[in-house]
Amino acid sequence: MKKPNSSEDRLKEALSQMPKIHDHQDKDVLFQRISSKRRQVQGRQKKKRVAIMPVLASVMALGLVLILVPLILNEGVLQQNAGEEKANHALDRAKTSKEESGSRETDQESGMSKDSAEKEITGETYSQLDKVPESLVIHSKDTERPIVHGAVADLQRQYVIPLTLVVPAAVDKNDFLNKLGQYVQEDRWGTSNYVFNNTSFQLDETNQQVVADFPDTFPIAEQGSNGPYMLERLLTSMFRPYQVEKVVFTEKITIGKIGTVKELPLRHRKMVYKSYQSDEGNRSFLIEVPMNEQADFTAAITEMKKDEKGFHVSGTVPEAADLSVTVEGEELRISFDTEEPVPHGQELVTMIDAILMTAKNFGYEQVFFPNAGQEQAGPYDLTKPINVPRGANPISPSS
Amino acid sequence: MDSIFEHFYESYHDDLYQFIFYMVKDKETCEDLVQDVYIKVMRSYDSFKGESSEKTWLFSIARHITIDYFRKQKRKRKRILEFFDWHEKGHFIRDQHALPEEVAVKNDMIQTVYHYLDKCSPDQKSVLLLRYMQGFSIQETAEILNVSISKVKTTQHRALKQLRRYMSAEKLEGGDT
Repeated sequence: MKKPNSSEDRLKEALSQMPKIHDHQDKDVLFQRISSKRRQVQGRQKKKRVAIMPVLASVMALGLVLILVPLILNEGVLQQNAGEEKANHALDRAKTSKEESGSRETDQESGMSKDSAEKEITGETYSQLDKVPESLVIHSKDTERPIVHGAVADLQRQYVIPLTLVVPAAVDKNDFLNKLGQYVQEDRWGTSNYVFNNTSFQLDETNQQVVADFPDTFPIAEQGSNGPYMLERLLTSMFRPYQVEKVVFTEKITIGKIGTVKELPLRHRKMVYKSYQSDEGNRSFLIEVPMNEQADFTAAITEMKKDEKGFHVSGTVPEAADLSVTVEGEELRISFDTEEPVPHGQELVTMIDAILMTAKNFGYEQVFFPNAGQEQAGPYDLTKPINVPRGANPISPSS
Repeated sequence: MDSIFEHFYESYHDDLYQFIFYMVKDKETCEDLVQDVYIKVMRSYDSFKGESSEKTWLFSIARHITIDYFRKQKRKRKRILEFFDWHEKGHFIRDQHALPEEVAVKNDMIQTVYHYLDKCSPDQKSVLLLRYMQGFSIQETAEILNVSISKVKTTQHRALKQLRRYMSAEKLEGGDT
């Protein structure tokens, strides 16, 4: 009688001692994923609801056709008669006009319009064919001039869009840093507003810090729990590329639930780069999407295939692309599965841009695409390893 | 960030994650289902009348979503089995998930229990996890599963018996099934 009881007790004890499994997913990342999923579900539900409308419209249209067809047929007979009369009159008029002015002019006119139409079509087609794929990064070969990093949030303030401004060699970076807002065109780009217009930054690369003088009222720091998170992400995106580890405020600042602080540490976080273009925007950007800190580059590639339509974010690696990843020191080798077609043109260049930026974030220095099947893609020479870029989303005073 | 999410995350996230993980034994699926649970919680928090505790309400949602997942998997598996005609040997296909690191470092008894949990039905597994891992009372477990107290007792008894049976069979055979 005792034996089964004791084994049952041991079993219960073992069940109560089952180890805790660690969830490595960051709370903010989890919330972003939930928000994205929620929007997708709502979108699907909306579509389902909307689907009733075309059916109803079709039924009504059919009804109308049934009613109108007999009427139209009757009217059509009447119009045909009237039309024939008109046509006869027109023929008469044309005959007279031809007799008066000769046929040459008419032929010339029609010939010219045909020519110009042909020209238009050909011109358009050529302009599409000749379109050079656009790269969204500043390449490492442009090392002579210093760069200033900026950042804005997407319209829904979920993700950070890094910005890179190349400045003249002789100037103080801080000058441009403090007037970066002048070069940000939120309305044309379809992004959130640049939030540091009234903030003064003093970059101190020697001490790996930036001194920031914030205005008395700084709304983003107080906007729910996402505001402080977004503020930290924007500052990280702007200053981590200079190896800055903290922001030192000239006066204590209250940042939502972080509290009232004199300094804000900026920690590196794993990011992948996807593509962002809002309906209102006139250009696309690479956007930073946070990753699990334990994620490896294969997981990053998988994440880069995912669209987040609710946020106007699309994957930068085509869904069908089968890529394998190997690491050799600080070089990343990305091989294409030879059975799948390798992307071309703009799609390939954007994919390389995004992979290079992601590789940079993961700490790699070079990426090599050994079997891309083409020697050149936009600005990239694919026959040798490519250095990771200096920054993403180049902007200029006139962009 | 949504205040309901914030509240539930801070109060119960770890427990929720453990429960779903041990139910499905796959981190990726677990993360996916946890997201679904929070979506459901945020959507239906207004209808929560407070008749049970928040935690039991949360776990009843978690359990529904997990069981739903199992149902979908079962339908999918059935379609695949029909397609390949694997009915006869389907039971030989073993769980492919690697043992999580946290379990792999534990003793044999824990590893064996982890392995044989899958021999229980989803209901039996739910009862064992809720009662012994989460420490819910029989009354609370009954509320979560929306069944009577006696049903919980019976399910618990059968689940333990089932586990013991497999574990002693393994001992006799001196290996895995």
